[in-house]
Amino acid sequence: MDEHKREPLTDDQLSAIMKKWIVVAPESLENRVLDAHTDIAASKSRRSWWHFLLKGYVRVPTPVVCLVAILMIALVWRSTWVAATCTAGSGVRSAVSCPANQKC
Amino acid sequence: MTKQEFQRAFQDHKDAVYGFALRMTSSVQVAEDVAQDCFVELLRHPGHFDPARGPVRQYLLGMARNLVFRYWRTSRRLDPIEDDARSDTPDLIAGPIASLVEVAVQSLPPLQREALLLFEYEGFTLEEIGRLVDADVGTVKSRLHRAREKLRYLLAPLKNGSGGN
Repeated sequence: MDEHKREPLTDDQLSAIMKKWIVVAPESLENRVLDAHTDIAASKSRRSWWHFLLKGYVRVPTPVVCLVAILMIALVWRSTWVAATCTAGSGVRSAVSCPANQKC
Repeated sequence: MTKQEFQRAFQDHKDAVYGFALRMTSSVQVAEDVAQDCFVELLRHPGHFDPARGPVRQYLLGMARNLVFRYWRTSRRLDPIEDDARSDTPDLIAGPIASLVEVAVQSLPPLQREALLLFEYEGFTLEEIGRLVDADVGTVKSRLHRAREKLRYLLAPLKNGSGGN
């Protein structure tokens, strides 16, 4: 097409011509989406607390996981260290190594 | 979202969402997949739609736009996304006007194409298009201007209804 030899369309003419490209969603789309809607609604109705307990999962932020891991490591380390200190039979009861309520 | 609310939303916006995807990709299959994914996402996570940020049509078209670009990325069609990456000029031969318009629109780079489609078919303002495509108004205006400028010449042969439709 020798496009530049023709006078270009005006804005209104362009809009009018573009409006002639009409697109309608096919029936199959409606069926697909409504089927998906039915599936989702059915799966939601099947859900219950025990379903969550058996198959559910929770998303935990990484910083929280790290903090909990550090705390657990610290607790395990402390309890083993206290136990080791107290069973060593040194006879020295340290406030740090053997807390007052700890039976050595 | 109840079934009635969803069905109303679907009936009101299905043509717009499907039409946008089809005009962007020129693929019936992709357009159907994109439109289905948009509505299923609305069903699954109705809370993601925030009425304060715009009407539901804008939300759905934004999602459709993202899915279309994701489709292009995953199908390795990265080349046409840039603003002026495509500059090929199609030869418009006589045929139904809709087909000629489709060929002309497909010749535009996607960023210009989406601006044009949202402006012409959805009646969005420059600000609304800017929000939807995450670009400032000046950029959208420039894309729209370039798109219209190209189509004015490309579709000039159809001025007197010589397209056969």
